[in-house]
Amino acid sequence: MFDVSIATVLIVSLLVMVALGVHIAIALGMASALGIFLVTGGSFNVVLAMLGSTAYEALRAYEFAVIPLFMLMGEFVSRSGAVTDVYRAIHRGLQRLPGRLAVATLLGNAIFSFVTGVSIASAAAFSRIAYPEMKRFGYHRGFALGAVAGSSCLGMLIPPSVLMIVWGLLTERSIGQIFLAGVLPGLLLVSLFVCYVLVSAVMRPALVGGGRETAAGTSPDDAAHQADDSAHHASRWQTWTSGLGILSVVVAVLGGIWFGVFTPTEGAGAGAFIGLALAIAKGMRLRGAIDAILSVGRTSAPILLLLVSAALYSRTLAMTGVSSGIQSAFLGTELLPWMLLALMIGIWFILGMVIDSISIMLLTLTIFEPIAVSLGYDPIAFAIIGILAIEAGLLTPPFGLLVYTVKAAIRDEDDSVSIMEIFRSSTPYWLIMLVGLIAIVNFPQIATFLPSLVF
Amino acid sequence: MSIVKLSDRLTRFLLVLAAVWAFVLTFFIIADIVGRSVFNSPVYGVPEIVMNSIVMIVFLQAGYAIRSGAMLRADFLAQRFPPAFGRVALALGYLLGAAFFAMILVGGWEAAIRSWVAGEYEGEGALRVPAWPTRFTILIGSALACFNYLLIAYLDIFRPQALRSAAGPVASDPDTSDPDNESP
Repeated sequence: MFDVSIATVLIVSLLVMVALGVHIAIALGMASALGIFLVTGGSFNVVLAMLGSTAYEALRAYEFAVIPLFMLMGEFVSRSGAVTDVYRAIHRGLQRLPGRLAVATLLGNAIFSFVTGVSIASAAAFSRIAYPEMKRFGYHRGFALGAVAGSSCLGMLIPPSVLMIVWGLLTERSIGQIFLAGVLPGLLLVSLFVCYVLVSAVMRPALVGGGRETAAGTSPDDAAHQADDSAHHASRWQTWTSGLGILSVVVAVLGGIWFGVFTPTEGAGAGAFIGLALAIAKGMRLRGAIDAILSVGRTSAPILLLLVSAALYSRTLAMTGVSSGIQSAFLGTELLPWMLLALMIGIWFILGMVIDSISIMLLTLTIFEPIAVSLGYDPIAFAIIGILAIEAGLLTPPFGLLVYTVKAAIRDEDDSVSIMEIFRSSTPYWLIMLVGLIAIVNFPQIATFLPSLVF
Repeated sequence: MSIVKLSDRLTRFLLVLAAVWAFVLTFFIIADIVGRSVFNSPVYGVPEIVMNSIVMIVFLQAGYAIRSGAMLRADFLAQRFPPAFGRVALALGYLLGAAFFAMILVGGWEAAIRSWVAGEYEGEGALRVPAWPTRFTILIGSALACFNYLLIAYLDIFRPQALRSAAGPVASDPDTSDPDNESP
C-alpha cells in the first residue's frame, strides 16, 4: 500500500528536522510516529503502541551488547598505554627506512585499529604520540599530520569497528562475517598508504626532514636519543607485555570468531576482559578504571538510542511501503547497476561531509542495502564498500571530523597549522581509499574471501 | 532551581549505575565462556540477562546523553542560522524530544503494569527472566529523558549561559573529556 503523499511527508519531514539540527534519534522517531499516524488513518493509539513496543523490543537481542563491550575494550587498551609502547617498538625496528616515523604511524595505527572500534580515538592518540616525534625530526608538518589523520581512518575499516557492528545490526547480516571481510581490505589500504609514504619520502626527502632520522650519528639530539634508548631497554618487558596484551586481544576477538568459538558478543566480552587485565598490568588504578567505565557509558548511550529509533524508522518504512516504493523507483530507472552503485556512493560522500557516519547509515541503509542486493552485489562486500565510502567523509572538507580531531589534539603542541593544510595533506589518503573502494567493487573477493573460508 | 539539581543528581546516578552494570556484564559473559569451555556447562540465562540488561542500560543512560548534549545531530545548517532563530529551532527540537519520550512512556505504561500483574517472563527452560523490571526501567528512563528535554529547552530559551557553561550535570574532568566525547 504505497502511498506517494505519505512517503513524501515522511521523507521531507525527516530531512527538515535533520537540517534544522533536531537530534537525529528524535528526528527519526518523530518522522516515524508521523508516518504511522498517517498510514493508520490517524490512529494515535497505534502510534503509542508501536513506540511502546519498539522501545522494549528493538534492543532486546544479545548482539546489541557488542557496542558497549567493544567500547570498553578500546577504552581499557587506550588507557593502558600499550599502543605507545608498540609504536616506539615499530619505529625502532624500522632502521634506515625513508620516512620511517610516518610508516610507524601508519603501522601503529593499523595495530591500534585491531583493538579499537572508533577512528576518533586513534586520531587523538596518534596526534599526541607520533606528531611530536615527526616534528622533532624535521618532518613537513602537513605531511606528518596527513599521515595521522589518514591512517586514523583505519580504525573504522579494520575490525572490530563500531560502523561494522551497526551495519550488521541494521541489515541483520552476520557481524562476524563483516568483521572478517574487513581484514583484507584494511591490510590492502595499509599497504597502499605505506607505499605512498615511501614514494613521497624517496621523491621529496624534504617532506621527511631530509633523511635526518635515518642518518645515524648526524642527528642533532643523538646523545639524548642514546639515553632514551637505554631507558627503553630497561622497559623492554613493558613493551613485551604491551605487545602480548594487544596480540591476545586480537586473537581472542578475531580468532574466536574465526574458529567459531565466540559469537561477536562473547568476543567483545573476552576482549574487554583482556583489555582490563592489560590495563591493570600496566598500572591502571581504580580511578582510571572508573573513568573508563563512565566514559563508555557516555559514548555508547547516544548510539544505542539511535538504534532504537532506527528500528522504529525501518518498521515504519516497511509499514508504509516507502522502502519498497523507493526501491522499485530506483530499480525501474534505466540506469545500469554500476551507475546506481555510483549514485549511492555519491550520496554517501555528500552526506559524509555533513553528518556523522552512524547517522548516515541509519538514514540510508534500510533503502540502499536491499537495492544493492537485488542488483546482485554481495551483501558482505557491499558492507565494506559502504563503510569505506561513509568513512571517507571524515577526511573531506568542510566538516571532516578526523581533521578537526587532529587539529584539536595538537593545539598545545603547534597552533599554527591551519585546518585547510591538514585537509590538503589528507587528500592522498582519501584518494587511496577511493582506489581501494573501486578495487573492492571490481574484485569483491578481496572482502568475501576470508568469510567464505569460515562461514 | 533545586528540582534541577535533584534531577541532575538522579541523571548522574543512573548513568553511573548503568555504566557499572555494562561493565559487570563482561564478567557474566566471561563466566559463561569459561563455564562452557572448561567445565562443559554454560551458565544458564546469561544471554537472557544480557539482552534485558542492554535495554535497561540504554534507557538509564538516555537522560544523561540528553542533558550533557551528547546526542548526535547535524549542525551544518544550524551553525549558519541567525542566533535567535537557531535557539528557537533548537528548543523546538528539544520539545519534539520530550514529546517522543512522553509517547514511549504513555505507550509502554499499560504493558508494564500488565507484565507485572501477569508475571510475564522472557526466555525458556532453565532460567526465566521476568519482564517487568525491563519494562519499568524503560518508563523511568523515558520519564527522566522527557524531563531533561523540557529542561534543556527551557534553559536554551531563558538561560543559554547556564546551558553552555555547565555542559551537563557533570563537570567534565579534563583528562577524559576530549578523546571520549566522540561521535564516530
